[in-house]
Amino acid sequence: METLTDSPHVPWDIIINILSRLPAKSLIRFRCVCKSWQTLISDPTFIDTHYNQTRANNKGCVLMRRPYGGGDFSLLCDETFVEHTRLELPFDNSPFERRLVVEGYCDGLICFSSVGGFPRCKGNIYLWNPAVRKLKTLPSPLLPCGDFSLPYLTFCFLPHRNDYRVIKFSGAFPPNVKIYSLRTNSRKEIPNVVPCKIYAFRTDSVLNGVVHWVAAFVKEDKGYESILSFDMVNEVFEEIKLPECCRGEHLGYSVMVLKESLSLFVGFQEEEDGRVDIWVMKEYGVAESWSKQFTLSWCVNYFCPLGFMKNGEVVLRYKGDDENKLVSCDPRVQQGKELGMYGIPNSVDVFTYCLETLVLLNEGN
Amino acid sequence: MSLSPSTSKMLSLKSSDGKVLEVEEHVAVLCETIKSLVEDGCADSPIPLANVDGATLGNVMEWCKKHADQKASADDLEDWDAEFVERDQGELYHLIMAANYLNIKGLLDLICQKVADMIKGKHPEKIREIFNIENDFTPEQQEQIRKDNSWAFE
Repeated sequence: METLTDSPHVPWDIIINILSRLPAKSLIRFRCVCKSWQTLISDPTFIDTHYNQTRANNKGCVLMRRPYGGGDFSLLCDETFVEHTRLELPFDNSPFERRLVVEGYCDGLICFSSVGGFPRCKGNIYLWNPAVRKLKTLPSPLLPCGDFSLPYLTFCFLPHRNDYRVIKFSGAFPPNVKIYSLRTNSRKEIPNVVPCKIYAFRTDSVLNGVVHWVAAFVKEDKGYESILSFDMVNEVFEEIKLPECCRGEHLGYSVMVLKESLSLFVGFQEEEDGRVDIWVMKEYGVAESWSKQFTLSWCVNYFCPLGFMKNGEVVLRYKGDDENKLVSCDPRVQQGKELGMYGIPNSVDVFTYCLETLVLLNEGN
Repeated sequence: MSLSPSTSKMLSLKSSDGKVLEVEEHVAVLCETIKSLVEDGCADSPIPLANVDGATLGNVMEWCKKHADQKASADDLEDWDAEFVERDQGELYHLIMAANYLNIKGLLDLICQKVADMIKGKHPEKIREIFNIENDFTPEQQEQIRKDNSWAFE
């Protein structure tokens, strides 16, 4: 009979190396191999190791929100876009809880808020990891009682600290800003916020630990638009000027980071057609270095970038002759390309690359 | 100290089963363990490698030779590596242990990725067999883990 001593025995650090390369679903199943594997897979240090490996290998899938019809979300293959899983959100089925707004997504996690209904102060903020199907309700309620203006949330990842953060701007002027950290499960208030009003665009805009928003500022009684930046490491706000010539009549701005460059998408409506101008800031923080890279001249029925592809390109939905299409683009190379996904409903508001990490694994179901 | 191919001399490596292999120094130093011996001036001939058998040592040096070749492109290496890891479990096991002992990170990562790809869809029972692990859960505990994450067992 075979015994332990005369058959292969793999050292523990090699087991960790192998397991850190597995998809989240396999690891959840392998927790029932033996007790030491169960302990390892749930260990926060291993979850970090697995996260770093998954990020390095860029392993994930495409996440698409399905607002109507079976399931809330679909997971698709990141190359063929073939659906392999449908997911229901783990919420109560009450109409109140189902009024969910996607506030942002990055590195495999999605941030939701539930607002509306009575009393309004019961709104919550949730983080959800579809790869492990775990949900976390943040400890702070969305709105303090008596505050009737809606807050604006930004969800982002801070690589320097391996931490997810939710930044909440109150609707007041100047805004009151609170930051929640997933790693410490705590929040803090940031003093001395620049008086301005954030516009609600929910896309990824973090570059080297600095978050960016388009915001309305006031100087000498005159209102104007600019980019507000917040350095999450040093906790400092700054203003970055927009390109001069794109001010004026437009449908909206989106500021985001594409392949390590700060980029600006500006939507315009021209009679029946619309267009999106894409600008890149070639030298970070230098307003003179804004450069218009190219124009998407399709009818843009709803100017909002949906998400990102595996290679870092941004996905936009646009209206073709008779159906919606998805296009991905990289502003630095001045071209957009169709993803080959057609008949996309207007209601699809999330179509993004999603890493398969174990973050939130130890939260309740 | 740089070790370029033009100045490279030969090193003798002796496996656990007594086989001696002559390898160019710039190839052998891809093994961090051998590199430190060379740098410390302790690389007496032949270098005894008590934990690596002759067949495995041959395979490891074949990998080192390919990866020491500065003319090989990244795409070329990727294709070559994919073919190199097409081996049975026993050989992969010996290669992992040798890469670990000789401290060759590139080779260790390559084989670990291969094993991960091999086991990812497998049943926990099969995993215990491959890694020779004893199931220390009671049937009730095991059932509970399955129940809590039934979607992952579909």
